[in-house]
Order: sequence, then C-alpha cells, then structure tokens
Amino acid sequence: MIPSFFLMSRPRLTLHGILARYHFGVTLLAVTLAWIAILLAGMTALKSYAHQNLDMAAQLASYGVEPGLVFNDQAAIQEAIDPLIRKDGIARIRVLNSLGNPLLDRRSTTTDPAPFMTQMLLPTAVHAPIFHNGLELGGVQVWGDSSAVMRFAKLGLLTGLACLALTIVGSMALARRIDRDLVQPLSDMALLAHDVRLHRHFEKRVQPVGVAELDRLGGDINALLEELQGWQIGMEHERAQLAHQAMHDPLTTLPNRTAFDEHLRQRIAMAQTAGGQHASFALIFIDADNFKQANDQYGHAMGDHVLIELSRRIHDATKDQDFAARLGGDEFVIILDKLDSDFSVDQFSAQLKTSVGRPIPLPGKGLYDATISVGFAFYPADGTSASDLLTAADAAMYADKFSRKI
Amino acid sequence: MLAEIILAAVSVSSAALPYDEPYDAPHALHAASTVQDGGATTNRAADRLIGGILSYVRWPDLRPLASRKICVVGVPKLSSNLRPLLPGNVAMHISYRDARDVIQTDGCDALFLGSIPVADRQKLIGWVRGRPVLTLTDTDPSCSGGAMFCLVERQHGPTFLVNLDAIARGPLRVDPRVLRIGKDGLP
Repeated sequence: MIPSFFLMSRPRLTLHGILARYHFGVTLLAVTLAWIAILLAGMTALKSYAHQNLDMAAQLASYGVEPGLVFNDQAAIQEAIDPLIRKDGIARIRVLNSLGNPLLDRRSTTTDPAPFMTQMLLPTAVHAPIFHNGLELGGVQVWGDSSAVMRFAKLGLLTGLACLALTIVGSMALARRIDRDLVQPLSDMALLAHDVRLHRHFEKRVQPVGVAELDRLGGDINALLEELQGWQIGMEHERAQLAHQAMHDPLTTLPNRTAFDEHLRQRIAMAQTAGGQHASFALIFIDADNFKQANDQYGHAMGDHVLIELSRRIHDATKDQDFAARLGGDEFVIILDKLDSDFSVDQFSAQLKTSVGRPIPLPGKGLYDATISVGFAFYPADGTSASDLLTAADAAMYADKFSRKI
Repeated sequence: MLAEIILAAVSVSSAALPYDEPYDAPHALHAASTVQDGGATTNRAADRLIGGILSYVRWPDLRPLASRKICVVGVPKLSSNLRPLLPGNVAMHISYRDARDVIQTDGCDALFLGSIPVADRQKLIGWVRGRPVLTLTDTDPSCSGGAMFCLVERQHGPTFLVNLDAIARGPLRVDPRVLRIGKDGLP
C-alpha cells in the first residue's frame, strides 16, 4: 500500500526546486543586505562628502571674495562667486560683511532634483569666515542641493538592479550545476531502484559520479543489489530444484506419478486439438514380475539397485519424444508419442522384454532374473480419458502377467 | 640735517578704525569719500586701496603683522593727508621725506611717490630695484613709470593698476588676488 504521507494534498516538492529556491533565497538575501549596507555606507559617506564639498566651496569662496571685501569691490566679489555657484551641488552662496549684512546673494539656476534629500542630508548652510590679517571682514554662507547625491542614488539603484539581475542569472546557472552534479545522479539512482523493483533487473549497477556522499550511497545500493542478485539466483535455483524434485522420483531420477499425470493430460489435450500425427499415442504399463521376492531376499539396498537399473533400461528403450515415468514401487509407464504405421504390439513388447527383462548383476551377490509384464493401451481406441487409458493399460498388463504364470 | 625734516610722522593703529564700516554702502562712500579738511584733502577710498595693497604684500624680512614704515615723497594727488586703512592689527608709520633722504636712510618699507621731479622719480625707481621696498604712485595714469602700483581716479572712485614688470624685479611677494583686482581697474 502507498503510505498516507504520499497522498497529502500539498504539492510535491522536487529536490531541484528546493535547492533552486533556497539558493535563490540565500543569494537574494546576501545581495539585498550587501546592497543596503553599501547604500547606507554610501549615503553616510556621501553626506560627509557633500558637507566637505560645501565646506571646501565655502573656503574657496571666502578666499576668493577676500580681496573684494578688502578693496571694497563689488565686481570682484561677484566674479569670485560666479564660477562657484555654477558648480554641481551648490544651491546658494551668500557673502556677508562683518556686521552680518549681505553683500551678495546668489542662487543656482538649476533646480534641486530632490528637496527632501537636501533637507535630510544638508539642512543648514555651511559658514566660512573671511579673515584678513587677523581681522574678520565677513563670512560666506553656502547652501547645497541634492543633485550630486541623487546622481549617486540613481547609480546605486541601477547597480542594485543590475546586481539583482546578475543574481537571478547566477543562481539559475548554479541551480543548473547543482542539478547536474547532485539532483541528476540522485534521480538516476531513483530510476534505477524503480527499474530494479519493477523488472527485477538485479544486474544493474549505480555508476559513480564523483561526489563522496552520493558514491557512498551508490556503493551501498550496488552492494544491496549484489546481495539481492545472489539471493535471487539462489532462490531460482532452489525453486528449479524443488520443481524438479516435485516431478521426479528421487531414487531413479525418472519423472514421478505427478509428472506422468500432467504429461498425460497435456498429451490427451494435444491429441484432441492437434490431430494428424499427434492424434494417437500408446500408453505402456511395465511391472517387474518378481521384485517383491527379490527385495525380501536381497534387502532393500539391492531392491533399489534393481529399480535404478530397470529405470535406466526403460529410459534407454524409449526415444527422445517418448515419456517414461516411475509410478511407484516396481511399476513403470511409457507414453509412446508417435506410432509408426507398421507398429506392432507384439514386436515392441518382445523388444522391451529383451532389453529391459535381462538378468541384472547384483554387486557381489549374483544375478537378479528381471522379467517384466507389459500392458498396452491406445488412444483413442482404448479410451480418450486418462483414467480409461490407465485402466485399460493396467488390465492389459495384468493379463500379460497372468498369461505367463499359468 | 635737512633730510631729517619729517613733515609728519603718523602712527596709525588701524585696528582702531572701523574697517568694515565703509563696505556697507560702497557706492555712497565714493561719492562722499573726498573730505576737504582745512586745505589738506583726505580720500578714504584711496586710503583703503593703499591699505589693501599693503596688506597683500609680503616683505621677505617682515612678519605679516609687523609695523610698516611708509615714506611719502612729493605731494600725493588724490589725498594730501594719506592715512592708509590697513585691515587687521598692523601698525604703520607714515613719514614725508625727499628722495635723497629716502636713499640715504634706507628705512622705508613702502614709497608713495606723489608729484616729484622726473629725475627724482627715476632715481628712486632705480634705487628700489632689487630692494624689498614697495612703490606706489598716484601720478602715473598709465602705470608705465616704474612704480609697482598706480592709483588712478575712475568714474566710480579711485582704483589701481599693477606694473607686473616692476613687481617681478623686486623681492616682494604680492598676493595674485590683488593683481587680478588691479587688472580689473584697467580701462
């Protein structure tokens, strides 16, 4: 029966799917974390960089406007500020005199791309005093905007997206590799196990793939298969032996009564359906005449010897297509498969009696004078069923036995 | 000695002056800057220019805030009462001398050349060459007479021209920012 957990409604997961999913998840997490870290670090660095930039711009403005203040030259102040206000990331520059009154207030012509970023990163102006010979002549105030920051942010976003795309492609490639190195061999193993279970192909083996754990598993599976193969061969052998034992007489190795019944049944069926050459056959009963006395006289060992010898002779007297069996005791039977047109009962009977009914030399104890009685029954003349044929042959055999006794 | 006649020796501590005050209204200042003071004329804009120039010049043997000796030779055209406005705590001594005296005593850090005979002027210019002495004049509108800085009157008030050759011949170092402002004064 299929265990219940295989029948759960949840969709079945594949190893490939699990690995691909985990792999993608881990990579995505790593990339996202790295991205966030870089973005945060970048933003922090950028903030300080923007501050420094403003600081430098303020210092530069302070240095540039100083002579303008000293010589009271508005044009010089303007000329010092003009190139600075055009710079990226600077929104406004104001020059103050020592009383704090503005001498110049310039705003950048470019608009702030993200005022909230400016508010977040550069909320206040940077102030640089203007000193000349130790006297503070005034100061410069510089406001920044987010244009440089936004450029970085855009670049960061694009880089992040590119990384993400690269992650997807990379994790897909890695998943394919894992599939090839890990999932495919496992799948092959499963397929092999299935094949072995279904078709009893115990001779199949798992091929090594070069992964230690998988090869250990494969090795164990191979060892198991080898054992199973050994068991199967042994079992088949045993079964064949048992089948042979069931159908053969252990002493004489001739087919036994069971085998004979089966053979006769098949032969009758064949005669009924095939016809022609197979439409007729003969059943011959053979019985040793004085076996009981010999058995009593010489002992069972000698009796066995006589039975083996008789069996050999009966077997030799039959052709390949004929069937000889020992029914039990000293009773034997032959099925003559094909009857020649000139077949003669007397001739065959005599032939049997001379080839089988010769004296049998006993080991060290002289001779056993083996004589046999023979009874014929013909299909379909004497009967078309097994019991009819057997009865007819038995009767004929007894008739033969008693005819000679009288 | 005749040469010892010092017409005026003014010790000016410029820190005492409200230096930033004129900057609040530069244009208004120019209009009202020339003050007649009992025959002596004062031009605060010119004082300021001179002070600014002095503050951007570095003498090789003077610390930046050491006191400066300014000798005026001849009669200045823009102002007969020169009181240079120097930013920061820098002391100044202004003395009025004649050319021979300047050469003999050799105690001037800066020479202001007013209206003097051409021969005297040439003598002084020649004497200054190679010495750490700054030369200014307000009587050379084309600034070709050999003085380093020339104050000239323009529409919006006084400004100055720079004679780079004269500066290059001496050991004084002048902040390039001043040179730029000076150039701006050219018509």
